[in-house]
Amino acid sequence: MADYVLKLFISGNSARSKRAARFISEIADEHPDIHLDVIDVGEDSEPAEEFKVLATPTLIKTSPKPQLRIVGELVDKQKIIDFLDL
Amino acid sequence: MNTNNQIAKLPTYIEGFDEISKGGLPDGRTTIVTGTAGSAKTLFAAQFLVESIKNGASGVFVTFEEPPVDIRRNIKSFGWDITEYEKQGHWAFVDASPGVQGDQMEIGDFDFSALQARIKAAIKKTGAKRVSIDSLGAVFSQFENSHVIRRELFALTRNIKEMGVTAVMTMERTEDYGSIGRFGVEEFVADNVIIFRNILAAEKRRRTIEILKYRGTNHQKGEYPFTINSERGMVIIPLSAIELTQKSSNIRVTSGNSEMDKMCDGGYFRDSIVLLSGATGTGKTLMATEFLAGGVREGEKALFFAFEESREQIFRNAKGWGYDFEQMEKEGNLKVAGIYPESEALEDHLLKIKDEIKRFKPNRIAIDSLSALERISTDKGFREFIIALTSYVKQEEITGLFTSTASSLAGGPSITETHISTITDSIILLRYIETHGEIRRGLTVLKMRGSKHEKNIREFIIDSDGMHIGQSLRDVAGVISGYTM
Repeated sequence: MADYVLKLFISGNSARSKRAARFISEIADEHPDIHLDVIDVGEDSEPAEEFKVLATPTLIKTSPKPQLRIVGELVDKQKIIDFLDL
Repeated sequence: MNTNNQIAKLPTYIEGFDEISKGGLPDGRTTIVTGTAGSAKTLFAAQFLVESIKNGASGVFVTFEEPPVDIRRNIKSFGWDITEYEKQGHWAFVDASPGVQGDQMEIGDFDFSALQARIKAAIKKTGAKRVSIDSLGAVFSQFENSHVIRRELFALTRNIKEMGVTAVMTMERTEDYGSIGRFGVEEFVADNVIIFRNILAAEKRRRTIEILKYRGTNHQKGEYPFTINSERGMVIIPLSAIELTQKSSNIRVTSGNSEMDKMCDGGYFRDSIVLLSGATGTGKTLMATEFLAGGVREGEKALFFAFEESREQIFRNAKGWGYDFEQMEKEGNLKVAGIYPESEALEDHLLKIKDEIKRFKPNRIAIDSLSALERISTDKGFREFIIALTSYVKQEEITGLFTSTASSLAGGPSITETHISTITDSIILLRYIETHGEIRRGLTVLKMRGSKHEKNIREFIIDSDGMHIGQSLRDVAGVISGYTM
């Protein structure tokens, strides 16, 4: 089974970001092979610069390739799982 | 600082822009720069930062469209090394261009906090007071939900305003004359709007800039031509903005011909423009030659822009009339620039003329002929050229002699003259005159602003010593209209 690396870019305490973080955390809890980084762009903009992120929330699957992104509140768990092929 | 509650301006140092905008961009505000594809919006956005860096400031460039590598390359063609500015910490890119980051899906609502945080970080890193964003419309291709984008761009502009920076935001439009933008964002941020145009008129490209509005502060109205110079980037020609500062002098200088000096009551005024009009072969180039040589003889420096003949031809002609131009050039008192009119656009010729004047610092210049330049331009463009040229020449307190070729052998008005006769201070007509079965040459001083002058039509002859002005030609009518009897 492959290891998944997900990066979630959020913006502080916005309701949108909180919701997205909660959904992804749930998915990560159900999939032990997922490694999840949550990055608050307000605290550190460097990773956002590196990954050229404009929008929050943005979820990036950096590994395995190809890189895939989901932008938005991420409110549809099944869609996320399907798109990222988890 | 602002006694009349006007918003302060931040100089852009872009040539001509600070004149037409009366000081630069509204300080601490965002200005929308809009134009069709290829209208030089990106150049303006980049040059705004480059010129300020040259003047000790720094800038942040947010690109939604071209990747930084492309912008670095394009800008380098003007000799500006962004990579170097980046190393020095004066320039920072925020790369928001559609990259190669793979597939993207949208689920629900989002905001541009990440972008804002990146811009903020770049501003902090460089200490920039200037931000360029190029171009807003390109964001719409990166996301599906255009309502959200519109809302977030509005938030972004509000945020940038709060950061206290002066920003340029470019935006594409579909037509040169029409609505400001095409995405419905512009009404949010349209306090200050600049329009770039790239119009095809009479088979010639014409680039113009217009400040449509500056809320709460002054600017010049209308379209101003500009050119893109390979070394200086965008150069705007301010036209009427410089027209008002002209002063006039009472000091007389020689026309190069003692008889003509007498006709003009002591010579031309020092910072005046003389228009010399005549059909081909009437002696315009000779008069220009005598004008230049006369100046050199009096210890002045003279500059000659020849658009009709090559340097060699001019030297040969001058020698034939007894003037050694080669020697005068060697001594550094004369410079002859032979230019092929079709080699460049009129705006570029204007830049060259101004550059040459700046370098050589002449006391007098002659241009032979304006008609040759008229061929390569639109009517409007030519008129603007004349205004810009004459006001520059006067501002520098240079005596100018411009020749104009009458369209018919007998004389008569040419288009050139209708454009410039009101701008020039003096007009001299050279004409072929038919009397008693003979073709002779006659000249008259038609107008001389601020001075009395002889009003007779005088005959003149040309021989190996140059021009000789003789007696009045009586019983000749129709010199002006071109129908002599």
